[in-house]
Amino acid sequence: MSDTVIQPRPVGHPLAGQRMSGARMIMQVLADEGVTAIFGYSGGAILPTYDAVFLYNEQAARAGEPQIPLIVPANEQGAGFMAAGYARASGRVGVCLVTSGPGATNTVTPVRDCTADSIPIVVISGQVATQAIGTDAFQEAPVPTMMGAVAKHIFLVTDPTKLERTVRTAFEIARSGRPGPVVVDVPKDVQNWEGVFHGEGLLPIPGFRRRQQELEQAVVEAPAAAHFFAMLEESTRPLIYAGGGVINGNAAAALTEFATAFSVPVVTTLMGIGSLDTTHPLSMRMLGMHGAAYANYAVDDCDFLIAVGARGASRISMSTARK
Amino acid sequence: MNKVKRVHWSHVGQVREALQALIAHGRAHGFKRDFTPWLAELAELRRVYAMNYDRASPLIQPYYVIEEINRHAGGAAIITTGVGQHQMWAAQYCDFTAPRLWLTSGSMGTMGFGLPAAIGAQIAQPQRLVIDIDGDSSIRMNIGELETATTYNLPVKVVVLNNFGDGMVKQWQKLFFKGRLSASDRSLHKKDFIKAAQADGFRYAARLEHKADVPRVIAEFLAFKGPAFLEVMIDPDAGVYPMVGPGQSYEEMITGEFIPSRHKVDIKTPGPSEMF
Repeated sequence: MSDTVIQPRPVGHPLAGQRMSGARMIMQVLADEGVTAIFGYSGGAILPTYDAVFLYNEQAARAGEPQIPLIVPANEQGAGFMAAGYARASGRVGVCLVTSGPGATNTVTPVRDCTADSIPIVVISGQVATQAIGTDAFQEAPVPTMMGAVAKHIFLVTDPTKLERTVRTAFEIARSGRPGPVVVDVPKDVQNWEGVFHGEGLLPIPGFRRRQQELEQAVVEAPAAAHFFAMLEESTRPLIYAGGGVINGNAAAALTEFATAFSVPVVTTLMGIGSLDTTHPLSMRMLGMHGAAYANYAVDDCDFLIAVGARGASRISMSTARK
Repeated sequence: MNKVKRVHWSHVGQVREALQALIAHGRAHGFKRDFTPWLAELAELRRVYAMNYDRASPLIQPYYVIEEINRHAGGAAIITTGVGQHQMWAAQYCDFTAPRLWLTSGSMGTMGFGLPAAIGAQIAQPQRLVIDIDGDSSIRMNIGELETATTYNLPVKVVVLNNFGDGMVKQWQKLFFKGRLSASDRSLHKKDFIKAAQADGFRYAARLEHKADVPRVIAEFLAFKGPAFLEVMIDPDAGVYPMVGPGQSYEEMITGEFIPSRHKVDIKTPGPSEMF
C-alpha cells in the first residue's frame, strides 16, 4: 500500500502473511507493543475482540508463553483509571478495552484525565456495525465526536485494511511527544472482517511525525548553553521549578544530576513530585496553592527561576500580576 | 512558552536530552558558582516554616496518620489518591525517593481516581507496596472497584481518611461562604465502610478511632499480606495549610495556626472571575 510507512525489522513478524480476523489483529498488535495487561469491560460491540483475547491467552497457555490478563472493573471509568495507574507506575502505555455506547461514555472521564496529566493510554472501543452508525442503534454513542474533544487523538476505523496499522499508530501517538490518550473506535464488522496480517506498518501522519522529529532534533546549542550559564553565574539565588514533564520525559535522573552538579535547589509541582527525591538535601518539596510554606517563600526569594517540564498552571500561578 | 510568564531564556525540546546537554556544557566549561549562602537561607526557611499541625490534639490528625504511613513506606511505596484534602496532605507529608511513585489526578482533579489507579499500578508493579490514600467522598465514587482488588487478590492497601464530607469544599465554604456547608456535610449518612469492604471480600478491614492506636494499627494494616482496608476517623475540622488563595500572591499565603508566616495576612474573598 502506497501510504504505508514500513518500519525496518531485522526479521519478519512470525505471523506475517496469515489470514485472521480484525479482532485477532488488534490483539496481536497489543501483544507486539509489549502490553502485559488489559483493563476493560465487555459488551455486544466488542465481543469479537474479547473472544480474540481469550483465544490469544488459550494459545499462549498451550505454548507456555506469558498470557495477557484481562482485568475487569465494576465500571469502565475504573478500567480507564486502572490503565492510567498502570501507565503512570510503569511508563508503559496502558490499555483499556470497552464496548460501544455506555462503555465508551463511561470512559470519557479517564480519557480527559489522561490528556490533562499527559498519561499515555490506548482505548479500544467497540462501535456498532458500520451500516448502523448514525441510526441511534442500540448502545450507539458518537465516540469520535465526544472523545475528539478530550483525547490526544481519535480514530474511527472504517477501512478494515487499515485496522492493523491504526492500532500500531495509536501506540506511537500515545507515547510520543507530550504523551496522552488515543481512542480507536472499531465497528463490530471491522472486528469480524478477515484479511491478511502484515506484522508491520504505520499510518502516514506526516504533520505529527515532522513536529515530533523537530522536537527530537532541537538540541541546546553551545551559544544558548553559554547564555544559560551566564545567567546562572549572574544569579545568587537560583531555583529549579520541576513539573510532570520531567517524570513523563524520564528525565528525573538527569534533573537530579543537573541540580547536584551545579548545587541548584528544586521545588516541584504536584505532578513533578518524585522528579527529585523529596529527602534529597536540595529538595524544597512542592510549591503552589497548597505547597510547603518554605517552598513558596523560596520562589518569592529566588532571583532565577528555572522551569523544567512545567507549564505555569493555575495551581502554581494563582496571581500573575506580580513580575 | 510565554503564556503565563515572560521568560528570558527558553528551549523547546526533549527534557532529558536538554538537561544532559546543559550538564555537559557546564562541566566542559568548568562552571563553578558558590550558592552556599542561598542554600543556607533555604535550610533556615525549611527549619522555620516546616510543615506542622496540632500534635497535642486528642483527635486523630490526618497529618499524623500520613506521617506514620510514611515511616513504614520509606519513600519507596506507590501512593495513589482521590481528590481533595487527603490528596494535598499526602503530597505534603509523604516522601518519594523516585519518580512514578506518586499517582494523582493533578490537572482534572477527578475524585474516585485513587482506588482504580492503585489497582492498575499494582498490576504494573506487583512487587511494590501500593497504598491508596483516599477520602470518604472520593472513595464512594468508584467504591465498586473494592471487589476488583479482591477478585484479583491484589495486595493494595486502601486508607480512607473519613471526615464526614467533602473536606476541601467545606474548607472553602468556611473561608469564603461564611461557613454555609451547602451539600458538603455527610455526618448524617449511614455508610459503614468496614461492612462494605468486608462484603467485597476484604479479610482485613478495620476502623481506627483512637489516637493511641495509630502506630500499632497502621503497622499491622501495612504488613497484611493481601488487600487491606483501613478507615480512619480523623478530626473533621482539619484543614489544608499552607494555602495560597485564588488570585493571591505567594506573599499572601495563609499558613494556619501551626506553621509560622512571614506576613500578617487577611483572608480575602476571591473576585467573581478568579479560579477556584
